[in-house]
Amino acid sequence: MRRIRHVQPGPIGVFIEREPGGLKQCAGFVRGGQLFGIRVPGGLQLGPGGFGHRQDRHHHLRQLGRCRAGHAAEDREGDRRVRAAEPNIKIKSTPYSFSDILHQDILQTTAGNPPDVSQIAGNDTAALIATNAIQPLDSIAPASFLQGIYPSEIALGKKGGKLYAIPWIVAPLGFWYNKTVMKQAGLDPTKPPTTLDQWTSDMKTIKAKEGASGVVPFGLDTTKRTFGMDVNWPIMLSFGAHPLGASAPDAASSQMQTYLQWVRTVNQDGYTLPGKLLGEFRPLAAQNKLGFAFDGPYLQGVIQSLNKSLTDQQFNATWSVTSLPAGPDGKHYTIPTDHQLVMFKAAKNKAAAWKFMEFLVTNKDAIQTYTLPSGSIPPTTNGATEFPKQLGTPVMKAFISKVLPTVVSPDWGPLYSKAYAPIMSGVEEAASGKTPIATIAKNMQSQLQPLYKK
Amino acid sequence: MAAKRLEMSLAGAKSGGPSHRRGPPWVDWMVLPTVAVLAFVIAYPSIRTLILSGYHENLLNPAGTHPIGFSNYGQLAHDSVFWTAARNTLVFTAVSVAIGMVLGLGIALLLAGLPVRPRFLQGALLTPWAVPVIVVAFLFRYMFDQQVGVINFLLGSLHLIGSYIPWLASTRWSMPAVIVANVWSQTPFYVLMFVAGLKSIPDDVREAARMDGATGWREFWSVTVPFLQNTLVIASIIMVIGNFNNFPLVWAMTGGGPVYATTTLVVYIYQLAFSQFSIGYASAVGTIWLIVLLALAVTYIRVLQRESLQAVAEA
Repeated sequence: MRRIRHVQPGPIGVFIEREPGGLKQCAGFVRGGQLFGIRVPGGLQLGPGGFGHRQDRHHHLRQLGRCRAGHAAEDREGDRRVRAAEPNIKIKSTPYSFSDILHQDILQTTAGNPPDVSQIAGNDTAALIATNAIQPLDSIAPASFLQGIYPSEIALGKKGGKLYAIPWIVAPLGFWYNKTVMKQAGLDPTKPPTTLDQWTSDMKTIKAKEGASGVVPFGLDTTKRTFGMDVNWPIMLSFGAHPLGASAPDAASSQMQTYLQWVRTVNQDGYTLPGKLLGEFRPLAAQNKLGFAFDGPYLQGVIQSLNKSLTDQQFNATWSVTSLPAGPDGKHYTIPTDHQLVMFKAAKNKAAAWKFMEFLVTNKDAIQTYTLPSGSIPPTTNGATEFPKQLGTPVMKAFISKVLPTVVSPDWGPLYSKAYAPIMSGVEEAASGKTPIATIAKNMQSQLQPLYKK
Repeated sequence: MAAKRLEMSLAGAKSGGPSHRRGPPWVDWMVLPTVAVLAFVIAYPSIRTLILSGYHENLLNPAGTHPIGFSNYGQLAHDSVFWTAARNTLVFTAVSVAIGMVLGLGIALLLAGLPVRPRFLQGALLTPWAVPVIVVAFLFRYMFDQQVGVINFLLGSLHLIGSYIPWLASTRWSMPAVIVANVWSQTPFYVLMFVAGLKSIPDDVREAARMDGATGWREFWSVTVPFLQNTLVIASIIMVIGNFNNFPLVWAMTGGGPVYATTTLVVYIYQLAFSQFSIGYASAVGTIWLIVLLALAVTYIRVLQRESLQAVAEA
């Protein structure tokens, strides 16, 4: 239940049904947890020879419910435009929560019934690619398509030199700062912290001046899950810590211990609320009770959906975003919480599946219906010119100019899927326990070492 | 006559069945469909799990699956998280059962002592048991919330705590919080069992005890407890088995965290199998868990059989 509250687009479910006389496809997507499909008559010949033979097998993807309360009229218009753009597209989707995406994909692949296309994100993409069930797209994605996508986004979908995933929604984590909270704490709202030390000092000031009124200086997610590690990864890098070395773990380094001590300070000095998921800080942000947040561009949509009286002008007067404060190396880091699209090798109708994937990524109506309303950035290089109104806001401009250039990809993959448990357990222990930091780091190191032997 | 009946029952028990047929022989074969279904849904998964426990199998690397004999069990012996989970399971189960039993008995005794027992009262007392466990989990998750939870508010209002406690984010307090939720949910079961048990105490035995001067605690220990002994044993074994399997409450409240403070065996198996996709190792842990549960189930069955024989002897 708690995952569904996250306002993030989720995976798209696609059923491609074949009927006599050609191929029918229809777009179906989930809104507010309810699934509906749109049937459109007509046939579609795809590729040389088309698909004249009949198959009864259904392939499907899964889609997470979107929470767009108050935007029903816009969504209906979007539906109409989607149908008009692709009259012969028939798609059936099944919703799953964000945290269950990989789980469901793996189970269905193991059971021999994978979907045609799946939306996926973060480490799940790398983990799924490692199963060898994902179709390489190098021979399927045309050069014209690739040239219109940010190269850094294409790189995120590559493994071993092959392209497996195409970007659908670009959403790096940005460092949000609440100008109202900063001002009330006596800080200069036009000068957000740019270094870790300044940031810690600002959190201390906010806690001292506004803690009694329920203001939380920062929303730090230290939960034991891969996404929890994703959120902490850029912060670790800022401290110079890199727990997953190429051939051996490096969790006991002095930099890692410095990072763990920082986590302990932030948690036990009351600069954050321990044990909370990232999304659980968003209601605080909507109530103007959060000083800093490390969240995606969709945070604006979330806050405004929780606080419906908040206009864009008021929002921009309260919140701004920049890059994560830098550590000793002076560099700023962030991670992508992008969502990507993958195609399974078992897809019988790869041409149709690709057509749908390309549609979602590049079609103007699809971008206006799915990507932009979620507060995310389309991966197309001409996005800023095609959608000047949506991408020309102060928040989006900051994300594009200040945050996107600092994106680094964590060490996603099967090792990451196993390593998150000992690493985040150590982070949790640092956050809420009394065990000496050096002991925590040493335990983390000893728990990671067997993972490298497998 | 009673001795004859007891002798027949014992003979039947030793031969593994009743000493006389109640119907035509083909009636016994009618259990075959049920046995077949049970074999499919219980026996096959159990055997398959046992086989999988001898493999190195990770669903993220299907090509790397290969047999490794008992290596998973060897790994388990040195797995600190496994032993932590085993200890947490014992603590969670033992404390939940003990507190639930004491509270349930207390409430049952109070109800029995009421001159008039309104029906709605018993129904109201059973309500927590009727609430789905997942709902209980979220209910207490919000109640134990550090910032907005009612428990911190009440304790703070009563000046029992100086600052709000991060119950579910604390390695010290998360397990007690989960146990509180579990006890709240399960106490009505004990109330139900003990109310029924108290009703079975003969009035003449009570009167005889009172005539001998036994009142209050003396009557409780000399009359009530011996008569409730069987109920105590059966209820506790049932709830021990139930709590060993209690996944939704722990998972929804804490996810097994923070660190591994509330990770029980069933939660650990879930994490291994469905978060890390280490199916082989998860099967090994599951096999150990199954053996423990089987031992508990056998104990329960033996207690029931002993009670059945005692009942026949007393008749």
